[in-house]
Amino acid sequence: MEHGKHLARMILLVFLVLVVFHIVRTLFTPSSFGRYGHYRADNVAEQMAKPVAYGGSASCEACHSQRNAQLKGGSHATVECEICHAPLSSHVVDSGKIGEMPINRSTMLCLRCHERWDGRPGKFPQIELEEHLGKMGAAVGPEVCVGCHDSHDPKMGR
Amino acid sequence: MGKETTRRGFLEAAATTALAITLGRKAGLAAEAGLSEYNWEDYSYVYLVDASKCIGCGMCVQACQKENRVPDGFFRTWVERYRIGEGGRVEVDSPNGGINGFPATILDFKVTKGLFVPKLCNHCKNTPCTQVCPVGASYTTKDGVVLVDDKRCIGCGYCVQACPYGSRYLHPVSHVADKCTWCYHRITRGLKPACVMACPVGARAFGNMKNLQDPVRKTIATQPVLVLQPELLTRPNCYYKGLDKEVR
Ligand code: SF4
Ligand code: SF4
Repeated sequence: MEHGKHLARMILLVFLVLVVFHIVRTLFTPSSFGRYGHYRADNVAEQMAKPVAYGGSASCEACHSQRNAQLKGGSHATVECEICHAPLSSHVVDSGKIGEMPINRSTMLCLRCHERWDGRPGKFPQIELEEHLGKMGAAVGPEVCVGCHDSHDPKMGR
Repeated sequence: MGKETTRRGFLEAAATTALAITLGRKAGLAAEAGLSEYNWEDYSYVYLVDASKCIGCGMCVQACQKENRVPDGFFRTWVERYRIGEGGRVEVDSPNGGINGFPATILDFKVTKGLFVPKLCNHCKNTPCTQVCPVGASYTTKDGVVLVDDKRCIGCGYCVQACPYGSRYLHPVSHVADKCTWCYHRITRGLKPACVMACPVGARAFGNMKNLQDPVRKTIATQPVLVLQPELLTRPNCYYKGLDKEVR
Protein backbone atom coordinates (compact mmCIF):
# COMPACT_ATOMS: atom_id res chain seq x y z
CA MET A 1 0.00 0.00 0.00
CA GLU A 2 2.75 2.39 1.03
CA HIS A 3 4.63 1.54 -2.20
CA GLY A 4 1.61 2.32 -4.32
CA LYS A 5 1.32 5.79 -2.77
CA HIS A 6 4.97 6.48 -3.39
CA LEU A 7 4.64 5.43 -6.99
CA ALA A 8 1.62 7.65 -7.50
CA ARG A 9 3.46 10.60 -5.98
CA MET A 10 6.48 9.94 -8.19
CA ILE A 11 4.34 9.82 -11.33
CA LEU A 12 2.55 13.01 -10.31
CA LEU A 13 5.86 14.74 -9.69
CA VAL A 14 7.31 13.68 -13.03
CA PHE A 15 4.12 14.83 -14.72
CA LEU A 16 4.23 18.22 -12.98
CA VAL A 17 7.88 18.70 -13.92
CA LEU A 18 7.02 17.93 -17.54
CA VAL A 19 4.11 20.39 -17.50
CA VAL A 20 6.24 23.15 -15.97
CA PHE A 21 9.04 22.44 -18.45
CA HIS A 22 6.57 22.65 -21.34
CA ILE A 23 5.10 25.93 -20.09
CA VAL A 24 8.51 27.51 -19.56
CA ARG A 25 9.72 26.29 -22.93
CA THR A 26 6.68 27.69 -24.71
CA LEU A 27 7.11 30.99 -22.88
CA PHE A 28 10.76 31.32 -23.87
CA THR A 29 10.61 30.00 -27.44
CA PRO A 30 9.66 32.70 -29.94
CA SER A 31 6.60 31.74 -31.97
CA SER A 32 8.44 31.67 -35.29
CA PHE A 33 11.28 29.49 -33.98
CA GLY A 34 11.67 26.33 -36.03
CA ARG A 35 9.47 27.35 -38.96
CA TYR A 36 12.33 26.89 -41.43
CA GLY A 37 15.00 25.37 -39.23
CA HIS A 38 16.59 25.66 -35.81
CA TYR A 39 16.27 29.43 -35.67
CA ARG A 40 13.78 32.27 -35.33
CA ALA A 41 12.18 32.66 -38.77
CA ASP A 42 11.14 36.27 -38.12
CA ASN A 43 14.80 37.25 -38.03
CA VAL A 44 15.03 36.71 -41.80
CA ALA A 45 12.47 39.47 -42.40
CA GLU A 46 14.21 41.66 -39.81
CA GLN A 47 17.52 41.25 -41.63
CA MET A 48 15.86 42.10 -44.96
CA ALA A 49 14.24 45.22 -43.51
CA LYS A 50 17.52 46.88 -42.48
CA PRO A 51 18.01 50.25 -44.16
CA VAL A 52 20.14 50.57 -47.27
CA ALA A 53 22.89 53.24 -47.21
CA TYR A 54 24.51 52.97 -50.65
CA GLY A 55 22.10 53.38 -53.55
CA GLY A 56 24.54 52.89 -56.43
CA SER A 57 25.00 55.21 -59.40
CA ALA A 58 21.50 54.33 -60.69
CA SER A 59 20.14 56.31 -57.73
CA CYS A 60 22.31 59.36 -58.62
CA GLU A 61 21.18 59.28 -62.23
CA ALA A 62 17.80 60.91 -61.52
CA CYS A 63 19.39 64.27 -60.59
CA HIS A 64 22.97 64.01 -61.90
CA SER A 65 22.62 62.36 -65.31
CA GLN A 66 25.22 64.62 -66.96
CA ARG A 67 27.86 63.89 -64.35
CA ASN A 68 27.02 60.21 -64.59
CA ALA A 69 27.45 60.26 -68.36
CA GLN A 70 30.81 62.03 -68.03
CA LEU A 71 31.96 59.48 -65.42
CA LYS A 72 30.81 56.48 -67.44
CA GLY A 73 32.64 57.79 -70.52
CA GLY A 74 36.00 58.15 -68.77
CA SER A 75 38.62 55.96 -67.13
CA HIS A 76 36.87 56.20 -63.75
CA ALA A 77 33.77 54.50 -65.16
CA THR A 78 33.96 51.70 -62.59
CA VAL A 79 34.34 54.04 -59.63
CA GLU A 80 30.97 54.45 -57.95
CA CYS A 81 29.92 58.05 -57.10
CA GLU A 82 29.33 57.29 -53.42
CA ILE A 83 32.82 55.87 -52.95
CA CYS A 84 34.55 59.25 -53.26
CA HIS A 85 31.52 61.20 -51.99
CA ALA A 86 29.41 59.51 -49.28
CA PRO A 87 26.49 57.06 -49.00
CA LEU A 88 23.25 58.20 -50.62
CA SER A 89 21.43 57.90 -47.29
CA SER A 90 23.32 60.96 -45.97
CA HIS A 91 22.15 63.04 -48.95
CA VAL A 92 18.69 61.89 -50.08
CA VAL A 93 15.83 60.23 -48.19
CA ASP A 94 12.39 59.66 -49.73
CA SER A 95 13.54 61.47 -52.90
CA GLY A 96 14.13 64.59 -50.78
CA LYS A 97 17.50 66.15 -50.12
CA ILE A 98 18.50 65.96 -46.47
CA GLY A 99 22.14 67.02 -46.64
CA GLU A 100 25.00 68.14 -48.84
CA MET A 101 27.10 65.51 -50.59
CA PRO A 102 30.68 65.94 -49.38
CA ILE A 103 33.29 66.63 -52.05
CA ASN A 104 36.67 65.12 -51.20
CA ARG A 105 39.47 66.69 -53.26
CA SER A 106 42.30 65.41 -51.13
CA THR A 107 45.52 64.01 -52.56
CA MET A 108 45.24 61.20 -50.01
CA LEU A 109 42.02 59.98 -51.60
CA CYS A 110 43.69 59.71 -55.03
CA LEU A 111 46.74 58.00 -53.57
CA ARG A 112 44.64 55.25 -52.02
CA CYS A 113 44.35 53.82 -55.49
CA HIS A 114 47.22 55.37 -57.43
CA GLU A 115 50.29 55.51 -55.19
CA ARG A 116 52.93 52.92 -56.11
CA TRP A 117 52.80 50.15 -53.51
CA ASP A 118 54.53 46.79 -53.37
CA GLY A 119 51.87 44.24 -54.15
CA ARG A 120 49.73 46.36 -56.44
CA PRO A 121 49.03 44.71 -59.80
CA GLY A 122 51.75 46.12 -62.12
CA LYS A 123 49.43 47.18 -64.91
CA PHE A 124 47.28 49.35 -62.67
CA PRO A 125 48.11 53.09 -63.13
CA GLN A 126 50.37 54.07 -60.23
CA ILE A 127 52.66 56.98 -59.47
CA GLU A 128 55.33 58.02 -57.06
CA LEU A 129 53.87 61.34 -56.05
CA GLU A 130 57.04 63.42 -55.77
CA GLU A 131 58.51 62.04 -58.96
CA HIS A 132 55.22 62.53 -60.83
CA LEU A 133 54.79 66.10 -59.60
CA GLY A 134 58.48 66.85 -60.19
CA LYS A 135 57.97 66.16 -63.88
CA MET A 136 55.23 68.79 -63.90
CA GLY A 137 57.25 71.25 -61.84
CA ALA A 138 54.64 71.13 -59.06
CA ALA A 139 55.04 70.68 -55.30
CA VAL A 140 53.17 68.19 -53.11
CA GLY A 141 49.97 69.73 -51.76
CA PRO A 142 46.83 68.57 -49.98
CA GLU A 143 44.66 68.94 -53.11
CA VAL A 144 47.29 68.91 -55.82
CA CYS A 145 45.91 66.10 -58.06
CA VAL A 146 42.63 67.80 -58.95
CA GLY A 147 44.57 70.89 -60.07
CA CYS A 148 45.27 69.03 -63.33
CA HIS A 149 42.97 65.98 -63.34
CA ASP A 150 39.17 66.10 -63.44
CA SER A 151 38.17 63.29 -61.05
CA HIS A 152 35.12 62.48 -63.17
CA ASP A 153 37.25 62.00 -66.29
CA PRO A 154 40.86 61.95 -65.13
CA LYS A 155 42.79 60.91 -68.23
CA MET A 156 44.87 63.86 -69.51
CA GLY A 157 45.10 64.96 -73.12
CA ARG A 158 41.83 63.52 -74.30
CA MET B 1 7.22 20.61 -43.09
CA GLY B 2 6.09 20.69 -46.73
CA LYS B 3 7.67 22.92 -49.33
CA GLU B 4 4.41 24.77 -49.88
CA THR B 5 4.04 25.72 -46.21
CA THR B 6 7.61 26.90 -46.13
CA ARG B 7 7.14 29.09 -49.15
CA ARG B 8 3.86 30.52 -47.93
CA GLY B 9 5.38 31.25 -44.54
CA PHE B 10 8.27 32.97 -46.18
CA LEU B 11 6.10 35.03 -48.49
CA GLU B 12 4.10 36.18 -45.49
CA ALA B 13 7.30 37.27 -43.81
CA ALA B 14 8.46 38.98 -47.01
CA ALA B 15 5.13 40.79 -47.38
CA THR B 16 5.40 42.05 -43.80
CA THR B 17 8.86 43.34 -44.56
CA ALA B 18 7.71 45.04 -47.74
CA LEU B 19 4.96 46.74 -45.80
CA ALA B 20 7.39 47.84 -43.10
CA ILE B 21 9.59 49.33 -45.78
CA THR B 22 6.77 51.09 -47.60
CA LEU B 23 5.75 52.68 -44.34
CA GLY B 24 9.38 53.32 -43.49
CA ARG B 25 11.67 56.10 -44.55
CA LYS B 26 13.67 54.62 -47.37
CA ALA B 27 11.25 54.73 -50.31
CA GLY B 28 13.54 56.78 -52.55
CA LEU B 29 15.87 53.95 -53.51
CA ALA B 30 16.15 52.77 -57.08
CA ALA B 31 15.94 49.06 -56.25
CA GLU B 32 13.21 48.98 -53.61
CA ALA B 33 10.47 47.44 -55.73
CA GLY B 34 11.77 43.85 -55.91
CA LEU B 35 11.55 42.97 -52.23
CA SER B 36 7.94 41.79 -52.05
CA GLU B 37 8.59 39.33 -54.88
CA TYR B 38 11.73 37.93 -53.33
CA ASN B 39 11.68 34.15 -53.07
CA TRP B 40 14.70 32.57 -51.44
CA GLU B 41 14.16 29.26 -53.18
CA ASP B 42 15.42 30.94 -56.38
CA TYR B 43 18.84 31.81 -54.98
CA SER B 44 22.00 30.12 -53.82
CA TYR B 45 24.52 32.87 -53.31
CA VAL B 46 28.22 32.69 -54.01
CA TYR B 47 31.08 35.18 -53.70
CA LEU B 48 34.21 35.42 -55.82
CA VAL B 49 37.39 37.34 -54.95
CA ASP B 50 40.05 37.91 -57.60
CA ALA B 51 43.14 38.71 -55.56
CA SER B 52 45.16 39.42 -58.70
CA LYS B 53 42.95 42.45 -59.38
CA CYS B 54 42.83 43.94 -55.87
CA ILE B 55 44.78 47.20 -55.47
CA GLY B 56 44.30 47.43 -51.70
CA CYS B 57 42.47 50.76 -51.76
CA GLY B 58 40.18 49.60 -48.94
CA MET B 59 37.08 51.25 -50.41
CA CYS B 60 35.26 47.96 -49.78
CA VAL B 61 36.09 48.00 -46.06
CA GLN B 62 34.94 51.60 -45.80
CA ALA B 63 31.68 50.89 -47.66
CA CYS B 64 30.99 47.87 -45.42
CA GLN B 65 31.53 49.93 -42.30
CA LYS B 66 29.12 52.64 -43.44
CA GLU B 67 26.50 50.30 -44.88
CA ASN B 68 26.39 48.04 -41.84
CA ARG B 69 27.40 50.48 -39.10
CA VAL B 70 30.36 48.32 -38.17
CA PRO B 71 31.97 49.75 -35.01
CA ASP B 72 35.45 51.30 -35.27
CA GLY B 73 38.23 48.77 -35.01
CA PHE B 74 36.00 45.81 -35.96
CA PHE B 75 35.56 44.37 -39.44
CA ARG B 76 33.03 42.34 -41.34
CA THR B 77 35.42 42.46 -44.27
CA TRP B 78 39.07 43.44 -44.35
CA VAL B 79 42.02 43.41 -46.74
CA GLU B 80 45.39 41.77 -46.06
CA ARG B 81 48.62 42.69 -47.84
CA TYR B 82 51.13 39.91 -48.53
CA ARG B 83 54.65 40.93 -49.47
CA ILE B 84 56.88 38.02 -50.35
CA GLY B 85 60.62 37.97 -50.99
CA GLU B 86 63.10 35.34 -52.05
CA GLY B 87 64.16 32.78 -49.47
CA GLY B 88 60.73 32.56 -47.87
CA ARG B 89 60.52 36.07 -46.42
CA VAL B 90 56.87 37.03 -45.98
CA GLU B 91 55.40 40.18 -44.49
CA VAL B 92 51.63 40.31 -43.90
CA ASP B 93 49.83 43.40 -42.69
CA SER B 94 46.33 44.80 -42.51
CA PRO B 95 46.50 48.16 -40.72
CA ASN B 96 43.01 48.89 -39.39
CA GLY B 97 41.66 46.26 -41.78
CA GLY B 98 42.92 48.34 -44.70
CA ILE B 99 40.03 50.78 -44.27
CA ASN B 100 42.27 53.75 -45.16
CA GLY B 101 44.47 51.88 -47.61
CA PHE B 102 48.03 50.82 -46.83
CA PRO B 103 51.20 52.76 -45.99
CA ALA B 104 53.85 52.65 -48.69
CA THR B 105 56.39 51.29 -46.17
CA ILE B 106 59.71 49.92 -47.40
CA LEU B 107 60.72 46.50 -46.08
CA ASP B 108 64.23 45.31 -45.26
CA PHE B 109 64.03 42.69 -47.99
CA LYS B 110 63.38 42.93 -51.69
CA VAL B 111 59.76 42.16 -52.44
CA THR B 112 59.61 39.86 -55.44
CA LYS B 113 55.87 39.37 -55.43
CA GLY B 114 52.97 40.79 -53.53
CA LEU B 115 49.24 40.71 -53.40
CA PHE B 116 46.23 42.10 -51.60
CA VAL B 117 43.68 39.60 -50.34
CA PRO B 118 40.17 40.74 -49.41
CA LYS B 119 38.65 38.59 -46.65
CA LEU B 120 35.15 38.17 -45.27
CA CYS B 121 32.88 35.49 -43.86
CA ASN B 122 32.98 32.51 -46.22
CA HIS B 123 29.33 31.61 -45.60
CA CYS B 124 30.47 28.00 -45.26
CA LYS B 125 28.15 25.20 -46.32
CA ASN B 126 29.41 23.03 -43.48
CA THR B 127 29.79 25.71 -40.91
CA PRO B 128 31.26 25.23 -37.44
CA CYS B 129 29.90 28.57 -36.21
CA THR B 130 26.20 27.68 -36.38
CA GLN B 131 26.84 24.17 -35.07
CA VAL B 132 28.20 25.43 -31.76
CA CYS B 133 25.49 28.03 -31.10
CA PRO B 134 23.59 26.87 -28.01
CA VAL B 135 20.44 28.94 -28.65
CA GLY B 136 19.94 28.77 -32.42
CA ALA B 137 20.97 32.40 -32.95
CA SER B 138 23.43 31.59 -35.75
CA TYR B 139 21.81 29.95 -38.72
CA THR B 140 21.91 29.46 -42.48
CA THR B 141 19.12 30.81 -44.68
CA LYS B 142 17.62 28.81 -47.56
CA ASP B 143 19.55 30.99 -50.01
CA GLY B 144 22.83 30.08 -48.34
CA VAL B 145 23.62 33.06 -46.11
CA VAL B 146 24.93 32.58 -42.57
CA LEU B 147 23.25 35.10 -40.27
CA VAL B 148 23.15 36.01 -36.58
CA ASP B 149 19.85 36.76 -34.86
CA ASP B 150 20.88 39.64 -32.61
CA LYS B 151 17.72 39.31 -30.50
CA ARG B 152 18.47 35.69 -29.73
CA CYS B 153 22.24 35.76 -29.38
CA ILE B 154 23.37 35.59 -25.75
CA GLY B 155 26.90 36.77 -26.53
CA CYS B 156 28.63 33.61 -25.29
CA GLY B 157 31.24 33.94 -28.05
CA TYR B 158 31.41 30.21 -28.91
CA CYS B 159 30.91 30.97 -32.61
CA VAL B 160 33.65 33.61 -32.55
CA GLN B 161 36.02 30.91 -31.34
CA ALA B 162 34.65 28.24 -33.67
CA CYS B 163 35.15 30.22 -36.88
CA PRO B 164 38.57 29.28 -38.25
CA TYR B 165 38.68 32.37 -40.48
CA GLY B 166 38.32 35.05 -37.81
CA SER B 167 35.17 36.35 -39.49
CA ARG B 168 33.20 37.07 -36.31
CA TYR B 169 33.48 39.47 -33.42
CA LEU B 170 31.45 40.40 -30.37
CA HIS B 171 29.86 43.79 -30.91
CA PRO B 172 31.29 46.18 -28.29
CA VAL B 173 27.94 47.92 -27.68
CA SER B 174 25.25 45.26 -28.15
CA HIS B 175 27.54 42.44 -26.88
CA VAL B 176 26.19 39.98 -29.43
CA ALA B 177 28.04 38.17 -32.21
CA ASP B 178 28.33 40.08 -35.45
CA LYS B 179 29.71 39.28 -38.88
CA CYS B 180 29.26 39.75 -42.63
CA THR B 181 25.70 39.13 -43.84
CA TRP B 182 26.62 39.51 -47.52
CA CYS B 183 24.43 42.61 -47.01
CA TYR B 184 21.29 40.47 -46.75
CA HIS B 185 19.16 43.65 -46.75
CA ARG B 186 20.70 44.65 -50.10
CA ILE B 187 20.88 41.33 -51.94
CA THR B 188 17.23 40.54 -51.21
CA ARG B 189 16.39 43.87 -52.86
CA GLY B 190 18.42 42.97 -55.95
CA LEU B 191 21.40 45.15 -55.00
CA LYS B 192 25.01 43.97 -54.74
CA PRO B 193 26.67 43.74 -51.33
CA ALA B 194 28.21 47.14 -50.49
CA CYS B 195 31.81 45.84 -50.82
CA VAL B 196 31.16 44.46 -54.31
CA MET B 197 29.54 47.72 -55.40
CA ALA B 198 32.42 49.75 -53.93
CA CYS B 199 35.31 47.91 -55.57
CA PRO B 200 36.62 50.03 -58.46
CA VAL B 201 38.53 47.19 -60.14
CA GLY B 202 36.06 44.29 -59.96
CA ALA B 203 38.12 42.28 -57.48
CA ARG B 204 34.92 41.27 -55.70
CA ALA B 205 31.93 39.65 -57.40
CA PHE B 206 28.66 38.22 -56.18
CA GLY B 207 26.52 35.65 -57.93
CA ASN B 208 23.69 33.14 -57.80
CA MET B 209 24.46 29.47 -58.45
CA LYS B 210 20.81 28.81 -59.32
CA ASN B 211 21.00 31.18 -62.32
CA LEU B 212 22.51 29.25 -65.20
CA GLN B 213 23.56 32.49 -66.92
CA ASP B 214 25.31 33.93 -63.89
CA PRO B 215 28.86 35.14 -64.74
CA VAL B 216 30.24 34.18 -61.31
CA ARG B 217 28.78 30.71 -61.59
CA LYS B 218 30.41 30.43 -65.04
CA THR B 219 33.80 31.54 -63.72
CA ILE B 220 33.66 29.00 -60.91
CA ALA B 221 32.66 26.28 -63.36
CA THR B 222 35.28 27.04 -66.01
CA GLN B 223 38.32 28.61 -64.32
CA PRO B 224 40.75 27.53 -61.59
CA VAL B 225 39.45 28.72 -58.23
CA LEU B 226 40.38 28.00 -54.63
CA VAL B 227 38.79 28.28 -51.21
CA LEU B 228 40.62 29.29 -48.03
CA GLN B 229 41.84 26.41 -45.85
CA PRO B 230 40.01 23.62 -47.74
CA GLU B 231 41.53 21.07 -45.34
CA LEU B 232 39.07 22.24 -42.67
CA LEU B 233 36.15 20.87 -44.73
CA THR B 234 34.02 23.92 -44.02
CA ARG B 235 33.09 24.09 -47.72
CA PRO B 236 33.17 27.88 -48.15
CA ASN B 237 30.84 29.67 -50.54
CA CYS B 238 33.56 32.29 -51.11
CA TYR B 239 35.90 31.38 -53.93
CA TYR B 240 39.29 32.92 -54.71
CA LYS B 241 41.28 33.49 -57.87
CA GLY B 242 44.90 34.56 -57.99
CA LEU B 243 45.97 33.37 -54.52
CA ASP B 244 49.49 32.51 -53.42
CA LYS B 245 50.48 29.55 -51.23
CA GLU B 246 51.36 31.98 -48.44
CA VAL B 247 47.73 33.07 -48.07
CA ARG B 248 45.91 31.47 -45.14
S1 SF4 C 1 33.67 31.91 -42.29
FE1 SF4 C 1 33.41 31.61 -40.08
S2 SF4 C 1 31.60 32.83 -39.54
FE2 SF4 C 1 31.57 32.56 -41.76
S3 SF4 C 1 30.27 30.72 -42.10
FE3 SF4 C 1 32.43 30.03 -42.06
S4 SF4 C 1 32.77 29.44 -39.92
FE4 SF4 C 1 30.90 30.71 -39.93
S1 SF4 D 1 37.73 47.94 -53.14
FE1 SF4 D 1 38.44 46.29 -54.50
S2 SF4 D 1 40.55 46.89 -55.06
FE2 SF4 D 1 39.98 48.15 -53.28
S3 SF4 D 1 40.75 46.94 -51.53
FE3 SF4 D 1 38.60 46.33 -51.81
S4 SF4 D 1 38.70 44.51 -53.13
FE4 SF4 D 1 40.71 45.52 -53.27
